[in-house]
Amino acid sequence: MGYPTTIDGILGIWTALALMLFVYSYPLFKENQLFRFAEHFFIGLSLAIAAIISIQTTIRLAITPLMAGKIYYIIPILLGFMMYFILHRDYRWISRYPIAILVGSSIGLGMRGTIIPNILSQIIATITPPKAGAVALSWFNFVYIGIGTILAVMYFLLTFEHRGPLLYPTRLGRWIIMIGLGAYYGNTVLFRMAMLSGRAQFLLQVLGLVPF
Amino acid sequence: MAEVVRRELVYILTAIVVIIMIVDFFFAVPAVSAVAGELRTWATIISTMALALGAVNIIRVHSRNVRRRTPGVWYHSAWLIFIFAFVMLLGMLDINNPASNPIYKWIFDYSYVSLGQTWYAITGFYIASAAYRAFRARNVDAALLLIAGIFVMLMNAPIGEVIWVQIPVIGRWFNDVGQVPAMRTFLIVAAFGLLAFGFRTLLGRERGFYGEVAGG
Repeated sequence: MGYPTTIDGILGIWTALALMLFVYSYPLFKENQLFRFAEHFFIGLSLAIAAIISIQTTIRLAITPLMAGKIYYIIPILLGFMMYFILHRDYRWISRYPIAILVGSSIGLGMRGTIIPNILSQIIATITPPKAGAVALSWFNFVYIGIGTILAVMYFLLTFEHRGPLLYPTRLGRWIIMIGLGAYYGNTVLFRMAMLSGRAQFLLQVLGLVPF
Repeated sequence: MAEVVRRELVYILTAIVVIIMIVDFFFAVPAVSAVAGELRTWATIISTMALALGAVNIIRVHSRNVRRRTPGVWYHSAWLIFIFAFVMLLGMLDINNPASNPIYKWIFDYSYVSLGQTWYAITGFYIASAAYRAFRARNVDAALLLIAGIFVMLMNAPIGEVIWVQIPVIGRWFNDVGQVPAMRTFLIVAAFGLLAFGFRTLLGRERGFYGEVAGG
């Protein structure tokens, strides 16, 4: 993709650049009217796009089957409208019915979907040793992950106070968690800086200092 | 009677839906599977319609600002409402394919996408100071956090290898092995937490999401 040549393309990238600078005027300077302009613009725009997607999905999932003869699809549509009673203090209780279906299905799906991948698979992966003939480092990693996972899980034993025989295992567990969080945080820092450098690159591209 | 309709029936409905979802997965009864499939679609429809509820609520709040001419705020609120109405109108002209409208497409491409990236990247300004606070070795916990974080960051930065050729190797170990026990623990513990939460909901003991705490 080269530098835009059409009027709307050129206007577009300069608008995008201006909005970007308005937003970054807050961390680089202080809160100001230009920042608030861009902030409210983005909120209004996001809301409109979310509302349009919401209408599209409702048409596709509910209105089209209803028109095709599935009369009972009037029920989820009515339940969807019942959600709006949450805005009225006296009739807020009506919104609990659609919430019941939403929460019930989410929790039901969550409960049935969590046991295999998040409990069983994790335990199997932890206790599966390296293949025969594996190098010493693989065995070290296996032992570290196995013991580390047990210690870190012990840290979350909240039924007992962490003292006596639990004092040192839970402390080691906390250290294992700290190593994990450190590595995770290091990746997060890098990712966010990469995003920011992407924006800096966009600034240079619009100014014509680096190619698009 | 009112109490039954307002509360008890709601708890029973939630429990029935949870049970249908679980029975569908573990017993695969065709009739139950059909009901579970419909309920999933219904939940999607309800959540999609609820998405617009957020928009309605924000517009309500900003309309109040405009009506009351709240100093320093009302013109921004008016701007927000105008943009919302304008983009909605453009989108509604062809609801099945809003991007067919060139003005909508232009706004989406050059404002929405670009601002989305900008907002996401704004955390880059704060993450450096947050990293400074997090990565101070005040005790053993913080020191371990610091060591793992520094090695992972230097592993990805070209300067890491220049400082010491083993830095990427150690960083890769922290990334591929060092963090595995913690991440695995989070998955296991969160899964048990979800199961406990699910059973509490099933028994009607978890009620915060009905808005009862907020009153009404």
